[in-house]
Parts: sequence; C-alpha cells; structure tokens
Amino acid sequence: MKKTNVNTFQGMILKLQHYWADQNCTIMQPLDIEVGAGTSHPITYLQAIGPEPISIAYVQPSRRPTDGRYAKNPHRLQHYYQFQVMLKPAPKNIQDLYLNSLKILNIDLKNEDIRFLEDNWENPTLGASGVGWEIWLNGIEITQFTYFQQIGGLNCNPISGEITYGLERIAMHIQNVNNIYDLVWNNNKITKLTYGDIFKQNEIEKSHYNFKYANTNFLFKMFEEYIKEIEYLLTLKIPLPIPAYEYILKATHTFNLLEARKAISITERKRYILHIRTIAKKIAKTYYDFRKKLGFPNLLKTK
Amino acid sequence: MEKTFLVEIGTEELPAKSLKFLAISFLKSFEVQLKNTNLIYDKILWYASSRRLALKIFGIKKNRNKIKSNKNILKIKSKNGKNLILNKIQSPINNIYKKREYTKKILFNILDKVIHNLPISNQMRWGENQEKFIRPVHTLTMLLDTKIVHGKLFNITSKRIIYGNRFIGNKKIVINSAKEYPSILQDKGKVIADYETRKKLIKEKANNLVLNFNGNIKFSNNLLEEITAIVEWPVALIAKFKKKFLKIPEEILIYIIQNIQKCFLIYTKENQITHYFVLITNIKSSNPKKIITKTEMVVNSKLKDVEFFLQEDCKKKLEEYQAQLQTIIFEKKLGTLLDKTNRLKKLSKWIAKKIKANPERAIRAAILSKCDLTTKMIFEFPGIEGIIGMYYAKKNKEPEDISIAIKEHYRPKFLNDKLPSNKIGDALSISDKIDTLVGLIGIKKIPSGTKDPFALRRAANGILQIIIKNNYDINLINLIKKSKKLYKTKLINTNTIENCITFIFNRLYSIYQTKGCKTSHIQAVLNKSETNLINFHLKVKAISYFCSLKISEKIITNSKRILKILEKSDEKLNQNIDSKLLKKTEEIHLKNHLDASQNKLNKYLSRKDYKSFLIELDSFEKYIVNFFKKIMIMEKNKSIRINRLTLLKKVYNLFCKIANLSLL
Repeated sequence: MKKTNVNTFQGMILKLQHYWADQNCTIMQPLDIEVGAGTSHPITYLQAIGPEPISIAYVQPSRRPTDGRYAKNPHRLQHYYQFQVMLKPAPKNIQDLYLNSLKILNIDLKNEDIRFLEDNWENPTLGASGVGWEIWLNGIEITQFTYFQQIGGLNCNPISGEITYGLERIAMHIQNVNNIYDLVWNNNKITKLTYGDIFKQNEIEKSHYNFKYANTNFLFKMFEEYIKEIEYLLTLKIPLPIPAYEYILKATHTFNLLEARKAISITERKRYILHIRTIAKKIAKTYYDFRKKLGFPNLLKTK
Repeated sequence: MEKTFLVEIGTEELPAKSLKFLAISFLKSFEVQLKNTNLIYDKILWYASSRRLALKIFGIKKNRNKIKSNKNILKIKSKNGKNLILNKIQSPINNIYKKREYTKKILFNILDKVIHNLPISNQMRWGENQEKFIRPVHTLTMLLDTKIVHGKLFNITSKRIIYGNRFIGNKKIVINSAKEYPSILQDKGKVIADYETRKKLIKEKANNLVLNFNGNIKFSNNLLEEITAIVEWPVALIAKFKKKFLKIPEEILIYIIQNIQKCFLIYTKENQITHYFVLITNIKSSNPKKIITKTEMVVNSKLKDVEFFLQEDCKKKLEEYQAQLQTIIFEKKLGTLLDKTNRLKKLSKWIAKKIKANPERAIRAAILSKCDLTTKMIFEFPGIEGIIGMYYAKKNKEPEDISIAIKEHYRPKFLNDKLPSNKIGDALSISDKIDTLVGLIGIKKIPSGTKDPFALRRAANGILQIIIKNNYDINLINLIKKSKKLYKTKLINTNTIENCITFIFNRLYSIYQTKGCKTSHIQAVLNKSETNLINFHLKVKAISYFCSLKISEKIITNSKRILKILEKSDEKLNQNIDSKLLKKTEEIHLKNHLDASQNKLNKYLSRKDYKSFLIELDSFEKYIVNFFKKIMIMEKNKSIRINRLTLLKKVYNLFCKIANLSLL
C-alpha cells in the first residue's frame, strides 16, 4: 500500500486511525444516529461509566443545525467530522500520545505555537462533565482534551481521557487552505475531490431545511414519541437501556432542529434539557446496574 | 548549618486564570505550617508556570530556643518504622535523629498537608487515582541542598528529575542542588519558572516590538497575567487583521483580539486603535511567519463573522428585540427576561425620581437594557452584553445617556470596578441588582460559602457603592419593599425583606474595610440598625474620628461600665426617671445635665453632625465620675434602686444613639 498522504482529508483520517491502533486502541466505526459530538456515541458515553476499561478511536460525523451558514461562511458547517479517542483509564502519558499524533500529521511542534487553555467541558443534556483543555494551534482551537469526572450524574472511576480532534480545522492547517470547501478530500490518479465537491450542496440544502423548512409540528410530535418510547423501555420488567439511549440521541437531535427553527422558546429549552438530562441519568444508572449484575465482565478482558 | 530547600511539583497545564492565586496560596499555607515548627528561615520564594509550582526556602535552620506548644506535637516515623513523638521538653533529638533527616521529614509532612488542603475548588481525579488535585501531577522534586528529601505525593516519588519545556530544550533535567533552581530550567529547559520575571519579560518584549512601530500597548493586567500563566518561554510577534475591520466598534475589537484571541492590540501614540496586534507565543520558532499568517487567518475569519452578525442584527431596531426576551428564562421560578424588564421599568422610574434623574429616560433605558441578549452577536460572543446594546442603541439614535447606561448598568462588576458614569446608569444598575437580589433571596437562594452563582454579593456591593459614592438619598428598606412588591406572588420566602436587609448590610463590612475602617467601628454603627446609607456613612466617619480623640477613651469606658451594671440587674426598669426619688446630689446633677444637654444633642442629631454629638458626650464625664464615686446604685430600697438604674439606662441610651459604644 502506498504511503498515506497526510495532505488529504482521507489520508489524515487514515493516519490517525493507524496511529491510535498502534497505541492499542480498537478502531471503531461511527454511530449511525445523528449526534452533536463523538462523546454521545454509546461506546464512549455508556462505557465511560463503571470500572470496565476500554481504549477506542473513531471518526464521528457531528451535526449542529444552528451552525449552518448556507455554504457562505468558509469556516463553519452544520455537519462536520470529529475524530474521537477515548482511553480508559487515561494513561499517564496521554498528553504525549496526543502531541505525538500531531507530529505524525506533520505538525512541527518545535516551530508552531501550541497552547493548552483551561476548558472544563460540560454536556448538561447528558449530565456529563470533565476537566481539561482546548488545544490551540497557532491561535485556533483544534482539539478538546478532557478527563471525564462525571457521566450521567455518576462519578467516573477510573477516569477516562477523551481527545476530540476537529478534523476540518486540522486539515485546513495541514493543507494550508483558508476555506473549508477547498480542502482536498482525496487526490489520486483518477480524481481529485474537494470537501466542497462532496458537501457544498448538502450544506446549502441543510441550512435551508434547518432554518426555514423543517416541519415543526412533525418534529414536536417525533420528540414526544421518542420520550414516550424511552419511558416505556426503561419501565419494562427487564429494562432496555441501550435502545433507550439511542432514542435519547434521536430526541436530542430533534430538539436541536427545533432550536434551529426557533420553535423552542428558551423558556422551554431549559425544561427540555432538564427532562432529557433526567432520562439520560436514568439510562446511565440502569446501564451501570446491568453491567454490575453481570460482574463487570470486561475487567477480565485486559491482558 | 543553614540549608536551602526546594520543592517543585510538575503537573499538566494548570488553569491560567488561577495560577497566581494557586501559587501564593501554596506559599502562604507553607509559611503558616512552618510557624508551627521550630524551623526558622530567611525567606521563601515562589515559582509558577503552566506546568509547575515551586517553593524555595533559604537559610533553614533549627531554632534551639523556640519551644513548641503542646498543640504542635509532630509524630514522625523513624527509619525502623517506630513512631516517635516530639514534645516540648528538651528531648534528646540529636541523639535520635541526625539534624538533616529531622528537617527533611518536617518539610515533607508540611508539604503533604499543604498540598492536600489548598483552597481550590473543582479539583479533579485522574487515572486510577482517588486523590484529587488541580491537574494531574507528573513529577515531585524535593531537595535540601544537594540531598533528596524522600516522600511520595499522588503516588509520585520525589526524584531529581524535573521536566523542561514540552517542545524545545531538554525535556528531562537532572537537578543536583536546590540552588540550581530556577536557572537550570532557564538554561537547559527553556522555561522561565519565575512568574514575575516572566510577566515583566512579556511586557518588555511586546513593548520592544511596538517601539519600532511607533505605537503603544494598553496592557490589561488580567490579560498579561493570563498569558504569563500560559506560556513558559514567551516570544512576541506582530500580526495584523484586515484594515476594513477597523469600522467594527472598538470595544468589540478589543473583546475579540484581547479576550478571545489573547493578543495585545497596538494603538498609535495618540491612542487610536490600529489593525496591528502583538501575539505572545510559547515557542521560539524558526518559522514565525507561519504562526503569524495562521493567527491572522483566524482573527480575520472571526472578524468576518462579527461583521456578518452585526449586519444581521442591525436589520431590526434594538427595541424590536424586546419581544424575544420572553424566550429567555431569568430564573425558573422568577420568570423571563421580559418579566424582569417590566419590573426594571418601574424600579428605574422610582429610583430616578429619588436621585433626580429623568424618569422617562430611565424607563427607556430599562426597556432596552436586556434587548441585546437576544441578538446574534451575543449568542456568538456572550461576553460583550451591554457593549453590544450600547452600540445598537447608538445606531438607532437613542439618546447618548441611555445608550451608555445600557452598557454601564452591569457596573460595578467587582469591588474596585468603575461605577456607571451617569444617573440613568445608576438608576438602571441599582434596579437590576436589587431585582435579582430580592428575587433570589425571595425564593430562598441565599448564597453560602463559595456558592454564589447569581453573584448576589457583587450585586449588593454594587448597590451600596453607587448609593454611597453619589450620596443618594435612597431608603434601602423602601427599595427592597418596592422590589418585592413587583414580584407579586412569586416569592415564597416569608422573611424576604429581613433576609435582604441582613444580606445587604453585611456587605457594608467589606466595603468599609477596604476604605480602612475598623471592624469594631462598622459593627458599632451597624448595631444601631441604621438603614439610611448616607447616615451610616456619616456615622462611621464620625465614630472613626471620635476614636482618634483622647476623650473617647473615657466615654467608651463609661459606656461599658454602665452596660455591665445594667446587664447584671435583671429587674424591670421604668420608662421615666422619678425626680422625687432622687435623693443625693450626684444623681440629681447627673439627671439635670441629662435634661440640659437634650436640646443641644438633638440639634446635632437633626443636623447629622454626629462628630459634635459624640464630642459633646464628654460633658457628662465629671457627672458620671461623681455618680459612681458617691452613689450606691444597688440601694436596698427597690424604688430608689430602680430609679437609679433607669437614670443610668437613659444615659446609656443617649450615649449609644449613634453607635453602640460598648462595642468599641
């Protein structure tokens, strides 16, 4: 196989996957449900609870409907890619592992300006919080680095280290372009595809949909139904936290769409967030209890 | 033998905004603990950077003359694991321990205690550690001269290895002697560990660059401290943004470049903003152009966003954003920002009338005061509320004082912050703060300890500072009552008014203490429940002046003596003195003087001439002296006794009309 070319979006992802696989991470595939960030993937969210160790890395497409800009803003997208790494327990040298991953992407740490800026992360919807940093490369944030302290309202033990790369931003640095749509996704003998070739139309149509045309009655109804389904799944004789969690994600995305349509008064926004958070906590607890009952089997898996 | 002690704790990047506080807390706690031992020293220096905290103690030796109290018994494990207790009797320490080991163990014990009790909230756990600290710890180095001090913190063993700069210089450095610190870090590790040196260096480097530019930097101390805390090896570079963005209002440019991007704007010698700025990097790069270009890209893209949002926002007039305020919750039980705005309209009008400001303008300012919170600019950049409101108001040709009030009504944001610069701002600021205060206390969300999420203490301080500085004649109790009324049925706390009064008046302590007033003076005046702030201010001033006079000593002593007598007797006293029961000369004279001085004293009171009032009390001196000399207060005859006590009570009450003198 030819050497991976870091100067394409595709190559950059492959490089990161190889690197983290070399660090003994299991390379997972992205979640097939709309989420706002890689943390929401059940392999991160649910696995961060409880004592069972895990080391994973994956690409996660992330949607933030309110960030749509009709493809007119060269730096902002309502759909973009995160590269998510979770190491549980967080190894002592986790910062060095991260910095080395930048090196393999040809970022010259001896000559570029890297700073760790305090940023304590919180996702109130999921009842999650952590302590860590935004990492800046020459003045722009490229990564969020977090030591989870709480998930679903439960204290984490051991502590997971989560590294979330902003792939587009890093690519723009590596490829030295000033406009996301000019990023080269792939460049081979047959074709050269840019980010714009693949996503520009998507951004335009989605922006229109998110801000103007989404049917809010339909979205409200879906939201209500999702919530009902979650409560049903959690109150079964043998509760089903995993499908319930998937519905939380669907409900959250629906809620984000309603927000983009400005259909939710922020009066109700806080009420919805609180509601979702309560359910997310219930799911976290149910999942934890379920793993506990099984005797936390993955504890024995580490060689 | 005098020794030098070094302790360095190597960590992951420490929070920049609290680094200095952290380092100084570390220093102070260590100092306090040292006092409890019989070690003495010449001085302690502190060092701090993003990845380390260190202390260096010079000239340590045992003080043979210092006897420790019983409270400070140290248990020390000897080498063979037995517990040895040092007590204050001259224990044959020298026979049990070599001097150095003793010192080492004491220093480690102190460190252990101090590190686990730093006054920092929100500490974290990491890995499989159960212990908490601010950020994960990687190295521990404790040296007494050239010898390692053994010990473990957070499962890290004390070693001679310290880490240098992450990116340049030597990553790992072996330190042989305490005296090599911090120069070894600078020479080999490309780290400037001394905080103040680094801060000065950053300023110098930035200024040097700007010299060539014929420009000038207005250093914000907060930003300077933050950058000092972030970089370990500062290098200054100059960059620029597109000149066209200079049409963005200056305050917004400052916010983006300084608060968000953490760079220093360059001004001309005439203090005009330019499109140039200084960035401080954490590395001496061989390709600084790249860093500059990338930074410029980021800044230009942010400013382009700003331009876009300003354009979008200005499609509507500021007042048109009012309707959206009903979509933002102020507090779940207290309603929306639109509800708050409606209350602020009424409060501002009420206050404006009291302070002789234009009530119509105050109402208008209230209407516009929160409108910017629903704009796109604020959604994107939540730190510039008020500034945006002012800018949009000006664009809509609202009167100047209203526009400025919109920006300034958040002041004062902290104890030494500026106050609003016009009366409309004052009225609006007080309204907003009292509304928040009464509302939250009204739903029993009274701040405790370190938890004050709605910043009620700041709000109370702000209200007091504005009223006191401007000498406004606002009755705080009426203000609280008016605010409470506007909440109609929302407040569940039946003691809202009392709680608010207590809360606000407690803030007077901190305000007056910073002015240099003694706590006892403040307490003495507060004890008399003075609710008018102007009067309070005059009284505290009067008491402070009074206490500096010689005559005050006797008056205060007399007051305390009288109080003691009154407290001893638990009999019911009369309302009035019965002249017929006064038999002896001294008590008659005292009563007469009491009557005679009423007029004069009352005149002083009504003129608020509290100084003269207090000075006049000196006239009682000889009568009181004689009274105590010759009068048998605890007379057997009940009615005479009661009468004498009543006389004393009347004198005491008179003396304490302004302040409770017995508290001085």
